[in-house]
Amino acid sequence: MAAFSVEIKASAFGRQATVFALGGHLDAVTVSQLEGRFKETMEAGQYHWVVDLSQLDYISSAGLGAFIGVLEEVRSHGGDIFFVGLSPKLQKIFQVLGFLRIFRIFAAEEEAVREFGLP
Amino acid sequence: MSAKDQPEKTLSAAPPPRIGVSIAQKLAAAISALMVVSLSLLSGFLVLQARQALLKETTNRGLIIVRNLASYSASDLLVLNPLKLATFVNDAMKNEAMVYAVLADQNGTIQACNDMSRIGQKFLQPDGRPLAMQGLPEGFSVEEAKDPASGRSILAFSAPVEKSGVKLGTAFLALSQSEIQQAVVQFVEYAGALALFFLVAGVLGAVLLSRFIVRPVRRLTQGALAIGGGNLETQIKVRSRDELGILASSFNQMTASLRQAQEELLEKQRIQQELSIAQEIQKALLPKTTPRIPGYQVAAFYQPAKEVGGDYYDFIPLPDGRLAFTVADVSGKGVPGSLGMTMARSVLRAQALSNSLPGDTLRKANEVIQPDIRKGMFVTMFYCVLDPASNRLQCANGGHNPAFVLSEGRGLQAVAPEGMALGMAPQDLFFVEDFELTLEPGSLFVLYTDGVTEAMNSKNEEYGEARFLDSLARHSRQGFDRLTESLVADITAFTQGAPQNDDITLVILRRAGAA
Repeated sequence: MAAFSVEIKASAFGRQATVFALGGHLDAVTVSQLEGRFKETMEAGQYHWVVDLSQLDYISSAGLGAFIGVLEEVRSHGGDIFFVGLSPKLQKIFQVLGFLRIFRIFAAEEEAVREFGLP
Repeated sequence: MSAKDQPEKTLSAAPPPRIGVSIAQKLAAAISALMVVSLSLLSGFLVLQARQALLKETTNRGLIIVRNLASYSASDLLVLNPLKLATFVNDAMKNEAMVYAVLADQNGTIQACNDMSRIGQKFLQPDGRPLAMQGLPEGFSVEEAKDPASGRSILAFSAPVEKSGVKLGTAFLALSQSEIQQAVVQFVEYAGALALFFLVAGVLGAVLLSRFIVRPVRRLTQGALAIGGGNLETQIKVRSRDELGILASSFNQMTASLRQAQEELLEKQRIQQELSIAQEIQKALLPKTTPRIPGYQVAAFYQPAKEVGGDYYDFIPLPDGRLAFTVADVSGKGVPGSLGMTMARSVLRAQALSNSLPGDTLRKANEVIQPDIRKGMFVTMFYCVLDPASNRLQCANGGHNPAFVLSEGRGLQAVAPEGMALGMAPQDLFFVEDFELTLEPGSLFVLYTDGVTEAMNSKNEEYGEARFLDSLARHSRQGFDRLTESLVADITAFTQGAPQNDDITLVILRRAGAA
C-alpha cells in the first residue's frame, strides 16, 4: 500500500494557480498531512487550487471531507478548488456523493487554470 | 481488556529483599583481611631478617674470640702452662653471652676450662648443626647446638691451636643464643604493636573508604527500590563521572522512559475506555429488533470494523402507519464518527416525523446538521418511507450508494436518485431529489453501505458491486430468513480473514407474495 504524498507547485499555465498533486493512500490517518498543507497554502495567500488526483490509489470519505472542510474559506477569498485527473471510479464516487454539485472537475490542468481567469 | 491490570501488577512487586551483608561491609572485610595478611608477612619477614642479622653478628663475635683464644694460647699450650691458659679462658669468659671456653690438647684432653673440675677430662663438643658460612678459616667450625649442661641454645665455635704450622690442640667456646632470642622477642613485640596499630587504623580506613565508595551504590539501591515501589518520579543524584555516574544517569533515563510508557499506557487505556463507551452508546442507538409490518419481512445486519464505526441504520415508525428506514454512513470513525452518527440519527428521527416527503426530510436534516457538524465531515444516507398499505416506497438518496430492487418480473434494478451527502453543502447548494417506486409481491429492496462492496481480501481486491449483486441473485431464491446470513458468508469467504476496513451494514425488505 503506497503511502500518501502531496506535491505542491505553481501551475505552469498560470503562476497564481496552485497545483496539488496527490498520490498514494488518502484516508482518515493521512488526511492530516493534506490538511496541514492546505493550511500552509492558505496562509501563503494562495486560493486558486487545482487538485490532481491522477496518482491517487485510494481516497476514503475522510479524505474527501478535507476538501469540503476548506472549500468555504477558499471561496470566501475569491478562490476555488478544481479537480483534474479523476479515474472513472472516482468520478462515480464524486457523482454519488453529490460532489459534482459543489466542485468542478476538468479534463486537464491547463483547462482548469484557464477557468480561473487569472491575469 | 487484558492490559488493564498490567501496570498495577508491575508496580506492586514483592517486597524488596533485605540486605544481608552490604557491599561496604564486604569491601571493608576484604581490605582488612588483605592488610592482616600483608602486615603478618611483612612482620614475619622483618623478624627473620633481624634474627639473621643478630646471628651473623654473634657468629662474627664468636669467631673473633675463638681465633684470639687459639692464637694467644698457642705458646702456652705447647709448654702446658695451666695458669696462663686459665687466664686466656677467663678472659674469654668475660663476655656476657659466653657459656663455656675450653682449651684442649692434641688428644682432646681439656687443659684449661671455665669449669676447672673438668680439666684432664676428654672434651666432647655437643652435637649441632653446622652453620653455612663463607670465608670460614681452615679448621674452624661454627655449629648451632644445645648446651648439654643447661639445655640452652648455643653457638659452638672451635678453632685449631697451631704453632709454626703444627697443630697443638683446639680452642672451643660457645655463645648463648638467648640474647638473640630476647632481641627477637622484643622485636616481635614492637612489630606486633606496630602491626596492630596499622591494622586498627587500616580497618577503620577501610570501613570509611568502602562507605565512601559505596555511597553512590547505596543511592542507586534506594532509587531502584523507590522505583520498584512504583514511584517513577524518583531521580537518582549521583554526580560522579565514573561507571556509577553513568549507571545512575542511564537509570534516570530508564525511569523517565518507564514513566512515559506508563503515561502512554494510561492514555491508551483512557482512549480505549472512551471508545468502548462510545461503542455502547452507539449499540444502544441501533434498533434492537426489526419492525413487524403486515405483508413484509425485514432483516438487518451490522458489523463494525473497529470498536466504533460510522455506519448506522434505523427504523422509524411514522404515526400514519408508514415505516421510515435508513442506512447511513458517517465519514470518520472512532469517537468523532460516533458523535456524527448520534447527531445524524437524532436529527433524522425528528425530521422524519415532521416531513412527509423523503427529500424534504433530508433537506431539513441537512439544514440542521450542516452548520453544526465538524468541517469536512459528512453523512451519506439512503432514506425511505414505505407505505405497507399501498406498497409504495418513496425514497431520497443523500450521497449514498444506490439501493437495489430485485423482483421476479423486472429482475435487478438499481435505485439511485440523485442527491448530496448531508453536512457538506450549505442549504442553498444542497440538492436532493425524490423518487418513488412500487414493490411488487415477492420483491426484495436492498440497502447497504460501501463496507460491503469495498470489503477487501489480502490481495487488496474489492468485493465489488457485481459480486454482491450476483450473491444477492443466487441467495434470493432460498428463504428470506437466511438471506443476510448467506450474503455475509459470501463476503467473509471472499475476504478470507483480511482485516475489515469499514463497517458492513445491510437492511433488506421483502414484500410477501409469489416467488
